[in-house]
Amino acid sequence: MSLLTRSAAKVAAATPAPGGGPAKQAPTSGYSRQPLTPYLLLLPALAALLLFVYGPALLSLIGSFFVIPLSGGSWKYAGFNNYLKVFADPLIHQAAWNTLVYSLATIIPSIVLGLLLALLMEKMGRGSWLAKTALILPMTANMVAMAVVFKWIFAFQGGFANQLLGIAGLAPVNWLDEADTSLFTVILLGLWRATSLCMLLFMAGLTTIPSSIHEATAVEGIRGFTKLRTVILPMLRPTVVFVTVLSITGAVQVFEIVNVMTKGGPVGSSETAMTAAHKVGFEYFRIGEASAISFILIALLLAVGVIGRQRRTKETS
Amino acid sequence: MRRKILATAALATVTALSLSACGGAESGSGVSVATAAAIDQCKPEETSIKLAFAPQGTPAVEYAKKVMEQKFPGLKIDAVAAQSGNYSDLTKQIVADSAVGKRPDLIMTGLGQLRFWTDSYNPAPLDPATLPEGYQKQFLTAGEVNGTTYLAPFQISTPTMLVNKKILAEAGITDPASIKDFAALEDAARKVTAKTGKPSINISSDDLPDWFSQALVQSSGEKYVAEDGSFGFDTPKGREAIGLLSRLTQDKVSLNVGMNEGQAQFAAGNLAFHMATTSRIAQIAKQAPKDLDWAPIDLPGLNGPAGDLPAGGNGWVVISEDSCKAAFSQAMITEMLTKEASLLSSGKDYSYIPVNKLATEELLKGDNIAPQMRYAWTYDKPLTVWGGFEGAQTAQIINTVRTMMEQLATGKPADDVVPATAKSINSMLGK
Amino acid sequence: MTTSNKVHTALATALGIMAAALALFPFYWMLRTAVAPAEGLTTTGLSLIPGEFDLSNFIRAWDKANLGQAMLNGIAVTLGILVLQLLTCIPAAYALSKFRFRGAGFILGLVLACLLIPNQATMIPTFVGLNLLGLGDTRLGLVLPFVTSAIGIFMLRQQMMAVPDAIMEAAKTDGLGPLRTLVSVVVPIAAPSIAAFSMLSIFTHWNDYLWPLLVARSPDIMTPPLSLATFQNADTGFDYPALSAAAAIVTAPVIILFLLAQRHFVRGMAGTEVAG
Repeated sequence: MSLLTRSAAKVAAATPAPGGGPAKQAPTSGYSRQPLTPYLLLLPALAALLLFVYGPALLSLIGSFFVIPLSGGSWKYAGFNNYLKVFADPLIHQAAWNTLVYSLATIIPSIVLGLLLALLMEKMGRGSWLAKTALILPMTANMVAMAVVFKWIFAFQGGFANQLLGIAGLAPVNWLDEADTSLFTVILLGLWRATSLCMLLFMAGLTTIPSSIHEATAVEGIRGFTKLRTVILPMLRPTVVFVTVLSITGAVQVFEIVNVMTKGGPVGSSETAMTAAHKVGFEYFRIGEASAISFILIALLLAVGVIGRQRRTKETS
Repeated sequence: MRRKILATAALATVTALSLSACGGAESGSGVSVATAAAIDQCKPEETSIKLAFAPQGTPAVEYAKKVMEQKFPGLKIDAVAAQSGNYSDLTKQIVADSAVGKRPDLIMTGLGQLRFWTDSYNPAPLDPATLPEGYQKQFLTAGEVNGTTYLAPFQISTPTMLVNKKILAEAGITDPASIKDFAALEDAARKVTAKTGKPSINISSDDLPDWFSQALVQSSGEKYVAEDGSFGFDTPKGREAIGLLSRLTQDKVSLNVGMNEGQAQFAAGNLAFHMATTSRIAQIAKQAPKDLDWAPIDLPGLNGPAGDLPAGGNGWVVISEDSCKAAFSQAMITEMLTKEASLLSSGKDYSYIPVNKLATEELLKGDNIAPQMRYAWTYDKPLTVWGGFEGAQTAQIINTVRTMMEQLATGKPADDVVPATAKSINSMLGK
Repeated sequence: MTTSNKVHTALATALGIMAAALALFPFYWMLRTAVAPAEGLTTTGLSLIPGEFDLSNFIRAWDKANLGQAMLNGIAVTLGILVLQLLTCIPAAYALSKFRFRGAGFILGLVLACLLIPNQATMIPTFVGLNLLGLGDTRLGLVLPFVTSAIGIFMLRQQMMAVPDAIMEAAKTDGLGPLRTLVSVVVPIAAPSIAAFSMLSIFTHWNDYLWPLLVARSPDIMTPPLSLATFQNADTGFDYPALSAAAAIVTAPVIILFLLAQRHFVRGMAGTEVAG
């Protein structure tokens, strides 16, 4: 499980649940006479989490201090060399900047659009289920397949986008092979999918608002933007947090659409954190440096999670 | 308190797990390669060899596989072609295969990647005496590092400029072969674009950036790699030569698309000039409509052709860790370079220069040989090695060169781009 | 209904249709290209409505991208992961929602903290570790890192928390042990989120690309997205019709699954992030 996984918990960790924080949960009737049962039930899952989440996270920290030959052979201790190289590498600088641009350009519009679309679906008359289905489809789509399709839509010669420009009397644009437009084109695909995901989550969130609320606001004459601001959004707060967290992790990890559409080029103009890590690890075969990039990414996202949590805890207290 | 203990225990477990994993690595297989044993001491029925190669090698590999299975009954040969014909992709694949413990014994590699293998994988040296009758031994220089032969060239090509004669004639250029220097090339491209209103030339940087740039630099008489192994063409002439890309963009005559897309446009008759390799001539001949009037011409140079072009194409290297596997791998190489195999690797479907001269003779016997194919098969000017930088950083150097070409293709002046590229490549090499 | 309401609804419907059209266009263009004749495509482009149909693209795509084998692998890997995740997540969620025991809070924290560690970022170290175990290039290696899912545990726990204590007590009074209670009482009540989680899991792992890209080296264990990406990288020129056909084949199974089960999906998703 990738992005959904990671973020749900951030929400849980970040939003104080009615029954107290996640650390203080309130299980009820137990089988207190069989004290081992819960541990046995938890054992497989916990072992797997230790092995495949905590283990690798730690391994990325350890590996980041070594030179690791991909073809086997012994690891050589390298001190902070990997980090020094990573911080000095213009490829990584560019990737960090592009990841930031990609994140900002997909997260904010997709949340706004997703919320508006979810609200719009509630206003639509008959046949809204058809529109809903159409709008959720991008979220289920295979991103490699969609990257292939977008690559063709934005192909310089014969691509649909340039055909449209031609009809409008404009010169064709070399979307994916020009440094000015490559990241933008990748962002379009990212946005197309992210909007769908946000809309789905907002739709799910909206269904939890009881109809009595809608009736009450109708009686009081609260409508439109006022209703959205004063009633709907406050009630959707947990969903907004959830969607935000999900969007951040999703955007920061963007890999396959870049890898298929541009391979990070041209001139590194669409290189992102994960494509750079993959390039350093599996094209330049410097696994130690790739581990350092992975660990920096993990640490940054953890920090974002922790800061987010602290801020919200402050707000509520 | 209890929480702390649990946390400590969990952390300890994870640490132990990871450390034991590190310990495992210490005993991992090294990078030593076995030299070939005498083949008569090896039992074919107990041996299997694994090949890694790009799809353009498939027909010759399959032919040689059959011959080998007859000669050595019981020998297993695992020969599945990679999907991509790009040599950097092939190297990536072989290294990643080795990482998961599926190291091949016999690999194809682009001639420009040989130093990567010799620097990090200690391939087995090759005995030229084992090569078959008719093999053109002058190609072996492309497979030598410090005087030892590690690679047997298999499919050889040269850089070339493909021209669409019809488009050029319409723009008033009737003798494309007279285009020998960059000024004439730029002038012709401008004339065509003025006539058609469309870009007229494509020099791609996605597929073989190191080879194309080396060709442009060397055909202008400059060195790609300096005597001391550092970046060779950060000179006034070198900058002017590679600056061709930037001038073409500034003149708005350059298409700037990838190799495949440029080829599709050329075959469709939309492009006057397409820089290519002779090995793609056969593909284009198949792709293009019958009435497309096109020809390969010698690659122009800054002031006319002034130096030898780098040899393109690929060859075979033995990286087996087992001496018997290495022996059978070497025998397999021999079978892949015979006249029959050479006809399959370099003949009508793949217009490489045949490495076996018996094959060339056979190919030229036929009537109705398309002039473009004849050009590809009979190119006999001297060729230099491809690349030449130290090997460990091969992939990163190729990507840096690609970035250089991409920057030039945006119209940035070579006087800015080339020194920066020289600096970063030299720092990778520690020069 | 008042006139202004009608106008609103009509406006909303028009906007909704436009948005839906934008969302669907890439799918349409994929199918439209997949039935186009391959000749001359990159020079002339395509009309919005197909004039002639060429279904041979699908056959070419199926053969060249080795999709038959890839689809079987994809099904095996996706279902394998799903089964294992359900087997590990359901009991864990049950323990974390319906039992009182020492360290429960800590363990829940351990599960939730996993979600803070991005999945793609741990791929490279996981790969290094997996190779040390000798599991690179195996189907098991494709499945193993995903045997459990922290979000699965979390989603199911949220739903199981909602199972009323009275029902649990009743089951206990009826003499049902903890496992029987789980199977016959808790799982049926948590069914909507189990279904929603299952679909999420299938979407995620059918579509996963980075992990198979690292692990699956042999063509015979490649998964559909990987086969498609490899086909895309291969020197087949610019065969967009075959590429689109391959993309359509790879996309189809999850889309069909989604269309069949979408009601359950949206319902099961609802409330997962707010409850509890």
